[in-house]
Amino acid sequence: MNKKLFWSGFFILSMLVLFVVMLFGFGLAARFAPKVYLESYFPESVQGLAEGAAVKYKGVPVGKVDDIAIRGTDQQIRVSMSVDLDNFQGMDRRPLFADEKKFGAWLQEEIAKGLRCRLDYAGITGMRYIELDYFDQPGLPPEADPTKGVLLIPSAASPFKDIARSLNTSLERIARIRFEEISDNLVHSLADLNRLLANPDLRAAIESLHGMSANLEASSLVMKNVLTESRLTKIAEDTETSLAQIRSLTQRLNDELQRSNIGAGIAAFQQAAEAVRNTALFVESRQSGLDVLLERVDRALEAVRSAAETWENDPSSVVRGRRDGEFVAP
Amino acid sequence: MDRIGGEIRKILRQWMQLVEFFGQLGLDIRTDLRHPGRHRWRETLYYIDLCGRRSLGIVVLICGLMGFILALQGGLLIREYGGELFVADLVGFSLLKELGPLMVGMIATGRAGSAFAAEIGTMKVNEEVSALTTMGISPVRFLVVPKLLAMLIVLPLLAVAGDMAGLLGGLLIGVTYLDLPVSAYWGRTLQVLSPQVLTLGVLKCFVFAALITLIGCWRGFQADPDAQGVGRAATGAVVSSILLLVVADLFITLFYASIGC
Amino acid sequence: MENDAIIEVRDLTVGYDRRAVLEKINFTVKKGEIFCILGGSGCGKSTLLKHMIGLLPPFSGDVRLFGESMVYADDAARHRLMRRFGVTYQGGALFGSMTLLENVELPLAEYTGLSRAERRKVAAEKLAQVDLAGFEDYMPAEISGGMRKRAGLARALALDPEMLFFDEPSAGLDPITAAELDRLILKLRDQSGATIVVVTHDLDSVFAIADRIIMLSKQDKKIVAEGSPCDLRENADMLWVRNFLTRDGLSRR
Repeated sequence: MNKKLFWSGFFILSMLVLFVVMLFGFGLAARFAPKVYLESYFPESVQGLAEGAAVKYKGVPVGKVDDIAIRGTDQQIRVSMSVDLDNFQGMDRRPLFADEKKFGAWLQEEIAKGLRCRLDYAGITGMRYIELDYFDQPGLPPEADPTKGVLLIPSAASPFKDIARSLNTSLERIARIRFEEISDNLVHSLADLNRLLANPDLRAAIESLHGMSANLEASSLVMKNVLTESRLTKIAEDTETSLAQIRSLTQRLNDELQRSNIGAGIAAFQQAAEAVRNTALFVESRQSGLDVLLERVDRALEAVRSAAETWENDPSSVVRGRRDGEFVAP
Repeated sequence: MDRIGGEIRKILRQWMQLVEFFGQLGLDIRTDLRHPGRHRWRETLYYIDLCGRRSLGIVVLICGLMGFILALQGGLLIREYGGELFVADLVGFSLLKELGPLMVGMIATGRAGSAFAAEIGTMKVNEEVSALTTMGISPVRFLVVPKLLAMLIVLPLLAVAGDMAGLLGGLLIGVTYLDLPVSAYWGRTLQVLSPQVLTLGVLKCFVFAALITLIGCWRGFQADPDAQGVGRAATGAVVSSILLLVVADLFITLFYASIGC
Repeated sequence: MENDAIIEVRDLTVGYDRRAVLEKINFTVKKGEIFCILGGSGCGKSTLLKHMIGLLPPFSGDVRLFGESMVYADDAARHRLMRRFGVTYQGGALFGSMTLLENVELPLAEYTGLSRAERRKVAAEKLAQVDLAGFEDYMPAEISGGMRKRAGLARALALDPEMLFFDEPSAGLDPITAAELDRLILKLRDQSGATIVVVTHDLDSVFAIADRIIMLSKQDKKIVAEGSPCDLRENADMLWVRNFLTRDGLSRR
């Protein structure tokens, strides 16, 4: 009887201990760890962010998202986060911040240095997490919400949002170029040239321009000089700058996409970007037939713009694929 | 026509008796709560030993194998996509939320539910239940309450043991068949599982314990007073317990879902 | 003599599943009497007993013990009545998981405020009273059928009841053991003056102990004879009764 008593008791106690150990193993201890609460406001869509999503500081998980709500007054999304202070250690490997006050002071310093939070992708599932990191862009100013005891951190635009905005600026600059004018000018120049060549009174001129008419490349080179030296110089420069910008943006976007581990699903965008780059190269190498070229540039840019808009509105479509058909590759 | 009427009356009476049974149970639990000294502690201990400690081996074995099988099945599928590590999620969640408690419930049904029905059925045949009544002792308090208390204590604990065994079974497959490092698999397990998941699973066991005990005892009390009657009662207890266990599990899961867990 | 009646059965109709086994039966048992209920197999003797001790509710009629109704009493009153009588079941109905001593202790633990040591002492006394001294720590499965019945009797005696019911006390016992049990019943009545009701069909036992008997008939669903056994054997109106009591005229050689 005593033996049975002992073993029954042993069974109950050991299982209780196991239960408690498992509870703590699964993170019960974290509930009692010192915490601070942060809030941030996002003007953009937080599609893919859920309660419980990770909050990372330079990639190190330091907390989680507690609550997501919409501030009705200006439609900004309020994201409340909790951050475990134990994750920040000093040189002696002991917790750096004893309380919320110290952390708050540190946070203000870091915000001044450029610490922002932004949305980032976690893997291929379209789920997002909050990344705390230093970004060179000013970000959105910390919206004044005089809730006491809550620390505010400004949000930075997510990588896609960021790129989409820069892209838009470039596109607008390109849009200011009057391609039709260039094209018309070109056509007129060519027509003038033809007329010049066709004029029987100018046989001498024909003779002198014989080499040029024999080689279209050469003639177009001359034409480029003519055009460059003409009032189109400024426009051409603008075009080149913009195209260079697009190239660098494309490169950045590609890097960003690779960094975000989004391998598949962006073929359409890459195709479009490739087309822009090719076109840009083509423009530089072959200035002849400029009207056709410019038309292609226009189409390529249109594709990029449409892609950018799609991502801006619905970032996870990069993974899912666009809903309304494929991008039109120029 | 008369036979049909008789059958209906019989079923109706059984249901009324079931309601009475619950009423008696409530009264007796109240009595035991008011006078803890009168509770049949020794019987309680006996059933803790019978249904708990002595079931530990089979629970650990079956739940361990469940973890093993889940990891194997999940691994086969998921390794095609290079997501071997997610096997830890699969094993962890399915065991803690569902399979651990359910398997423990099934084992307890087989071991305890049938034993309760047979025991009470036999006591009924031997007029021991009548003897209790004429001694003025409620058979429910004497026979059901200790079993109920024991099961309520033991089943959640068994579920904890089963969960742990299942996780270790999954780990075994993870490190051998899927070639994952122990630290990676175990780290992932600890990372994705929360105290809440474990607790919600274990809480299910309280409902299961009550179901198994009450069905087993009820079937025992309803047993026909002959040897075959006792056998039928035991079988009936197991069958209806398993059915109700799964139905209860469904409703608990729906309830959990509705409160957002 | 009516005020002597300690058990009154009035217009009692009992049965199972709406099928009446006994209809509108009336009888009384006097204080200090040994009263036997006889009848053929399946005539409802045990059913009648179960109704008298309140295990089953009758279709109609009343059973009054100590002048109080068993049928209409509330739970508390019924428990109070149950405390005052003991029942010995056919197989003893001992709890298999307890020793004999613990079995006898059980009613004491439930109803008295005695300490554990006192309970054990009383229980041991009761076991000695039924000649089971020395068997206190045996489990029911370890002893013979006759001993189990006696242990059941000891448990029924635990609270010093004023009334004892026996269900087939001699069934399944050899003649010597049965006789011992009969002797025990007589001894108990003489010692404590308890009223004893026995359901049996063992004629030897009936003639040895019964002061008065009733006989139940399966066909008529009622009492067909009432009186002392010897008187009925000689003078009963019904042939069936006389045949029953003389084992159909087949006397011992």
